Amino acid sequence: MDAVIAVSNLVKRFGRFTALDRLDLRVEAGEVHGFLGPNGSGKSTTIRILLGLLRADAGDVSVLGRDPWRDAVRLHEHLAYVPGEVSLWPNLTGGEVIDLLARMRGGIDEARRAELLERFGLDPTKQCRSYSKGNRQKVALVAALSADVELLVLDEPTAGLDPIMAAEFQEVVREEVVQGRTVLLSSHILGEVESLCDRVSIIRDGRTVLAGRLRDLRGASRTAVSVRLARPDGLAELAGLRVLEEVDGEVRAEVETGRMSEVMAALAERGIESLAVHPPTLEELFLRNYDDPAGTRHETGRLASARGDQPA
Amino acid sequence: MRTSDGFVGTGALLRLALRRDRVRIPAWVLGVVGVLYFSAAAQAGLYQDQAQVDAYGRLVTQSSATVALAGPATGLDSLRGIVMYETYLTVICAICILAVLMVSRHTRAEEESGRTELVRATEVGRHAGAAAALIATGSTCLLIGSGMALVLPWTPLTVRDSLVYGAAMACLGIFMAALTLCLAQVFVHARTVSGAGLAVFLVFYVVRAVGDVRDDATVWFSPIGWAQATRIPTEDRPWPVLLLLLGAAALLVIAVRLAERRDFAAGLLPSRPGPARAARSLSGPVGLAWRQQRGGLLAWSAALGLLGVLIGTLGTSMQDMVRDNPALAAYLAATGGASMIDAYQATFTLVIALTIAGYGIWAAGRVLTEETAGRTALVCAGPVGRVRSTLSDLAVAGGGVLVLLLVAGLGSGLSYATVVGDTSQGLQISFAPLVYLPAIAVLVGVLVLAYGWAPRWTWVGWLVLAFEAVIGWLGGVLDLPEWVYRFSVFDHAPRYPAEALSATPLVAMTAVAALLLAAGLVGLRRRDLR
Repeated sequence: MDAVIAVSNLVKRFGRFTALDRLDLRVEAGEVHGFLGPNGSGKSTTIRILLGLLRADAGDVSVLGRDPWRDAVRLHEHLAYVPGEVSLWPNLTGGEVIDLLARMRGGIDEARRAELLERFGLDPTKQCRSYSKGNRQKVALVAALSADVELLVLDEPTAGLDPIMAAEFQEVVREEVVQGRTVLLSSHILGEVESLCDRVSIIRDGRTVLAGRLRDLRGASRTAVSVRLARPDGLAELAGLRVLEEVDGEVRAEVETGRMSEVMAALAERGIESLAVHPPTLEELFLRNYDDPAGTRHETGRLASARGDQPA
Repeated sequence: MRTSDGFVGTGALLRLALRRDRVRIPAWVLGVVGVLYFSAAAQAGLYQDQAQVDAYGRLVTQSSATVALAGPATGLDSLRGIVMYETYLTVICAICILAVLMVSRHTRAEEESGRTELVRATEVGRHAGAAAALIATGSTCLLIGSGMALVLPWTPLTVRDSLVYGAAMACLGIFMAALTLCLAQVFVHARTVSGAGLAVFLVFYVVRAVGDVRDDATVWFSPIGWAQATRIPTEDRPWPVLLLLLGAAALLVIAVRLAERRDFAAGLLPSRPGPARAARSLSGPVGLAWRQQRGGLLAWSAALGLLGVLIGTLGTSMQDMVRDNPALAAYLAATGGASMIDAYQATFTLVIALTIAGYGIWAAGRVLTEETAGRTALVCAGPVGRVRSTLSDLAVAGGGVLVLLLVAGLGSGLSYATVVGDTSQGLQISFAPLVYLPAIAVLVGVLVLAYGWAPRWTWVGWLVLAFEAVIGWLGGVLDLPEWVYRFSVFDHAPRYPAEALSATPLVAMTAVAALLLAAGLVGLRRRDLR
């Protein structure tokens, strides 16, 4: 089957500011795709183009096989959206908004609606003007998750939720995927992305800098080791190893991709007393791409290979 | 916490409030004082001799409707009295509405938005925000009062008249501001606060009207009655103004006590729960637009229906007065009408139509408000196109305009038919406002065109309305060059019933409105949605 979302070389300018600069994004059917990037990197702009709210300046965009700008209405019959900043009609109650949004879509799954209200602990009789950010988000979530659609587009859906509700949300998303739905999840909560997502795309300044299976990305990245050696000499000259710091004989370093056995052999010669190896967490992957500007070039080159690994 | 500590930081918050309202405050002051000056000055030209002034006095004392609307019928044997009588309604409404909205905006709206929380976490006392709001609002009222005192001596009023008039109105504004401050402690939402404030204002106005019509002490139960009890120019006693200030001080003490009893962001009255399920009518963009606009439409219908009834009952006495005053007759018949009563009705129909155009611009302007708030995106992320969503809002706004034109027309037509017993004329009056439907549609069309192509410029709808209002209201007095009138859409509509109905301008306006609308929608389809 074709990709649910296929975006290539997407460009969007607001006046002189280039928000998206040849961005690529590919989401396969049935997966939960994590969409990461710091504030202002263009996540919400991308999502709004996917919904046909904004018009792309250049590039190809296809969602569920349609052009979202030309075919927005028919496309929207098959997707549901939770915006990052949920703004509701202040004089309607949460229950009324859920019903309204569902009816505009053509109907509502009553059982699912009741169940989600219960699980998210949302009082539907309150006027929307009195809801907190988290509760407004729950209204949008209940409306979106009780819809019978193929694709869920969620823009930082848990930013205002407490940890218990965020866990409930993860549970619900897993159920949605079992139902065969596809989810595009933009989020800052990396733990959530790690536990939910099959693949991720990380963007920076409107460009995709990292995309692929989380497992492959980890494999393709430097691995952190901390080691205590009997004879810690000549480590600085050791190829494939980059020493970060040395405290009381404990060396923290990074091993380059693909040179693990070579490095391990060299370390073993120096008498390993203790050794810990950590594959990079998503957080490390994420920070490495943003922390030091100098490291970017270095990392981007490596990304190309990571992207090559992904199933086409 | 001691009460005095509660006011720490008032100065900084006051500067913030003034900075936020740096356009709004001058606009209100210039608007109110300007309109007042022009309408007061215009009165001077209408009465050539004492006989005409007396005729006006006779008319007013006969008609309880105008007394109810304007105030005590005193001093109407002089032009000064007439100027006061003719301008009361405008100033009182303007300054009270200003006070209510401004206090509510700077207190509850801020608290509701969460911005107050940010401010209050710093070294700022509990009452500082309220104090700053009150000082900013009170200063604006004082500016309006001072403006009146400065400008009105150039009309038939004397310097002393102007001073007392200005002081009375400024203090009335301050009283309403203090009252709104109390309401802001009671209710949680800014909209409820301003709604309650305006409702109390209406009650005050009705109490005052009853007192003035019965000519008894009932007026003293209303602060508006106190402001008018200065009775310039006949008795000229400024002391009732002090009552307003004392009342305001008492209300402030109450507001401080109430504020000390409540939690932050809470009210003294909790908000009630609403329905958990949507009614069947709330199932699409049209139902949503109706739900958003129905409250406003209801209030406008009530107000315009009442205005229509007043105008209708005034018709007969007006006929006598116009017979006695050729200058007034000429003003009313500026476009050269048939009978005087027709000319009078045609003029009032124009005023009603302009007011309803204001509703139309407000209701249609919601398309921008909804988009800016991000709610249009929520609707359009479902299977609802942006054109359909916008057309739904516009259709409900248009329906509202139609309803208001009918309500105002029927109000004045039916009451005229009842009072005069002339059914055919009454019928004519009932449907006269409908003549302006195409003109209003053109104004809304301009707004939609701007919204579709350059949403930031949606306010030009209000600009066009302001132009139409100046031409329609003061066009006869201002003596502008002929070509200016050609730009006025309303000027092209037949002044029914003074003029015969002609289809050509109406059809042309409808076509222009349709074109503007279509062009706007084309723009909307092409642009980014916020």
